Amino acid sequence: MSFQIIAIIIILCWISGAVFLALGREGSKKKKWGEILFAAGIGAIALYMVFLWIWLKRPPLRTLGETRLWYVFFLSLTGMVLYAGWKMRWMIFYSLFLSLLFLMMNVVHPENFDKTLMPALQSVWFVPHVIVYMFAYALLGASMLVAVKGLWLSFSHQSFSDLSFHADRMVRIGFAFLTFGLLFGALWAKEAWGQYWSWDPKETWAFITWLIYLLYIHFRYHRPGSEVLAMWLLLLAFVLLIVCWMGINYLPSAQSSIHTYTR
Amino acid sequence: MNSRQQLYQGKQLFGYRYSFLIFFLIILAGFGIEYAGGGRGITAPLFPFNAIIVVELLLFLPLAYYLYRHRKLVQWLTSIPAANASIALYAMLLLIGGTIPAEPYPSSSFIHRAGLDHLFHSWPYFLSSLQLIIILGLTVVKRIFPFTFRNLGFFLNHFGLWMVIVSASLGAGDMQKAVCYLYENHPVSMGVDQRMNPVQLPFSLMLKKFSIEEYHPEIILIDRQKATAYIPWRHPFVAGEEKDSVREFRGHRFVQLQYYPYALYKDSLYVACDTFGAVAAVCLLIDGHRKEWISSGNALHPPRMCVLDSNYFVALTVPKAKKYTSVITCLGKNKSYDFLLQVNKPVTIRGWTLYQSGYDEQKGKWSDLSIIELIRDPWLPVVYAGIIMLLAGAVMLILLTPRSRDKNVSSRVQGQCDEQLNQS
Repeated sequence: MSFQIIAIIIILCWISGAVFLALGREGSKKKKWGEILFAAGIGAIALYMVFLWIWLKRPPLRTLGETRLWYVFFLSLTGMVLYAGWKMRWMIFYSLFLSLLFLMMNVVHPENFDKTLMPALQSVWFVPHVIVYMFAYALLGASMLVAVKGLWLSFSHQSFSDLSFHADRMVRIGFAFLTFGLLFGALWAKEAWGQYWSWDPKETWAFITWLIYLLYIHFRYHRPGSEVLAMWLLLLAFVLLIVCWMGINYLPSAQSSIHTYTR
Repeated sequence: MNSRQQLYQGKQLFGYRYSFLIFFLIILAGFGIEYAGGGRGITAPLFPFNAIIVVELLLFLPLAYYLYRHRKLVQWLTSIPAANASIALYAMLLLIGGTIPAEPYPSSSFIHRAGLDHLFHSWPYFLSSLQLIIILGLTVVKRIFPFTFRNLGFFLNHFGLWMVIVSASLGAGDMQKAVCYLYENHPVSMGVDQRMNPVQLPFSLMLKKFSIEEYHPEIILIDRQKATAYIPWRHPFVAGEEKDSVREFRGHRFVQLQYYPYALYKDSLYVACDTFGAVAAVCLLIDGHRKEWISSGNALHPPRMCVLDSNYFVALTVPKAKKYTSVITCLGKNKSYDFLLQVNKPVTIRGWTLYQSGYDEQKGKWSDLSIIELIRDPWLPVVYAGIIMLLAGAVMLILLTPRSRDKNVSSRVQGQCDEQLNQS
C-alpha cells in the first residue's frame, strides 16, 4: 500500500471535512458530514499505521517519519476530542492545519521502509516511550495553537478570556505525559545501557523541554493575569520541543548522540 | 500597614528581576570558581560523605523552614519567582550543555577552563543544582501540612524531583562502571573502568558461547562520483526475499538468483560455506543477461561490488545485528552456573548488573569475544523511589486537572494569600 495514496485520501477527507464544517450551521447535515469526513481521515491514518506495524513486523516508531505519522494521528484525534468535548470549534481547523503540515512533510520526505530494528530498540519500553511522547507533543502542539490564537486576538484587541484556561489544561495533561516519556526513557536506558541518565543531547533537550513547560505551569499559577506573556512562553516552549524532536541532528552535539534517527 | 499589605510588599520586593539577578550572579561565580580551578570540575563525594550530606539536607531544610519561615529570605526562596528564576537559569545551562559537543577540549582552552566541555560536572552546574535543591526542599516542607489530596500531588511531584536530583547527583560518586572483555573459555574476574583502572569483581565470569542473529543484507547502489550509498527503492531490496520478482531502476532490471548468508569466493563465484570468514553473497541477474555476484565483505574479505553503469555500482550491505546473546558461566566460590546475557536483558550478580555491550564486530558471527559492561549503583533504589513518586505525581496532575474555570481569578489569588497568612 503506497503511502502517497493514503496521504491523498486523508488530505481529501480532511479538506472536504473542513469545508463542510465551516459552511454547515449548528446541527445541520453539512456539519455532520464534515465531522464524519474528519473522523474518516483519522481512521485512515490509524488503519495505515496498523498495516505498517504488521508489514514492517516491528512497531513503526523508529524513524522520524514514523513518529510524525503518530503525531498526525494524535494531533488530529486531540483536535476532534477538543472539538467534541470542549466545544472548541476552531481547534479542529487549527489542528487540521498542523496535522496536514506534518503529513506533507512525510509526503515530501518519503520513508525508506526498513524492517530492521537494532537490538537496543527491542524492548518493552520502546512502544510506550515513543507513543507517550507523541501524545504529549500533540497536546502541547494544540496548546501552542491556542497561544497563537490568543496572541492573534490580543493583537487585534479582542478578548480571549477562555483561551488561557484551555491552554492550561492542555499543558497540564501534556506535561504529565511528557513526564511519563522522560521517565520511561530513563528506565529503558537503565535496562539497555546500565545508566538511567547520561546527558545525551536528546535527553538533555527533552529535559529542557520539560523544564520550560514546568516554568509555564508555575508562571500561570503565580501570575494568572499575565496571559499574553504566558502565551509567548508557550510559543517558545514549542520551539524548544521541535528542536528536541527534530532538531538534534542539526546541532553540533549531534555526533555524540545515540538518539539521532536512523535514515 | 497591616500584615496583608506587608505580605504583598514582600512578594513584590523579591520578584523576578531580583531572583534572576541573584541566581545568575551565583552561577557566574560558579564559572569563576571553575575557571580559577583550571577547569578541574567537581565530582560527587563517596560514601559515607554523600550520605551524610543527604541526611544533613533532610535535617537542615525542615529545621531552617520552621525556625525562619517568617524571615524574608525563606519567604523569597519558597516563592514562585525564585523557583522560576532558578528553573530558567538551570535550563539555560542545560541548553549550553546540550549544544556543545561532548568531546574534551585542550586543557588550556577557554572552553575547558570555563567548564563548558564538562558542564554537568562543573561548578556552575553544581551551584545551579544546589539552588534547585534548596528551593525545592524548602517548598516541600512548606506544603507538607495539611495532609490533603491536593498537597499529596504537590508533595509527590516536588519531593520526587528533589529525591531524583539529590540521589542522582550525590549517588554518582558511588557508581562503579567496569568493562569486561570475555574471551571464550577464559575466566575473568577483573574489569577496567573508564580511567583504565582495574576493578576487582566478587566473582569470575567465563564466556561459553557467543551467538548472533543477523538481518539479511540489502542490495543497494553506490554513487561512483560521491562514493556514497544511494537507495533508489522505497522498500528495501532485501537479499533472500522476493525471489523472481523484478526491481527496476533507470531502465535496468534486477532479479535475485541466489542468496547465501555465509559464503566464500571460489573459482569466480560464491559457494555456500558456513565457516569463519564467510560473507553474505547474492547473485543478481541484471538486464536479463548479466549474472553478477556481489558480497558484503567483512574484516577478512573486501566487499564485492559490480559496475552498473558509469554512475553507479551495485553493492550488498553488511548484515545488521538483530539479536546477540552470550552464554556466560559465573564461577563462584562453591558453585557455578550459566546464564544468558542479551541487550535489554541485564543480569544482576552480587550487586553488579551486567549488560551485553558489544562483541568483535570484525569477526561478526564468529566472534569469540563478548564485551560486558558491569555497573554497580547502590543509590539506584533511592533514584527509583524518586522516579516512582514523579510518575505518581504526573498521574495526579492529570486527575486533578480542573473541570471548570474559576469565575473570579482574583479571588483565587486572594485565597492563597489568606492561606499563607493563616499558616504563618
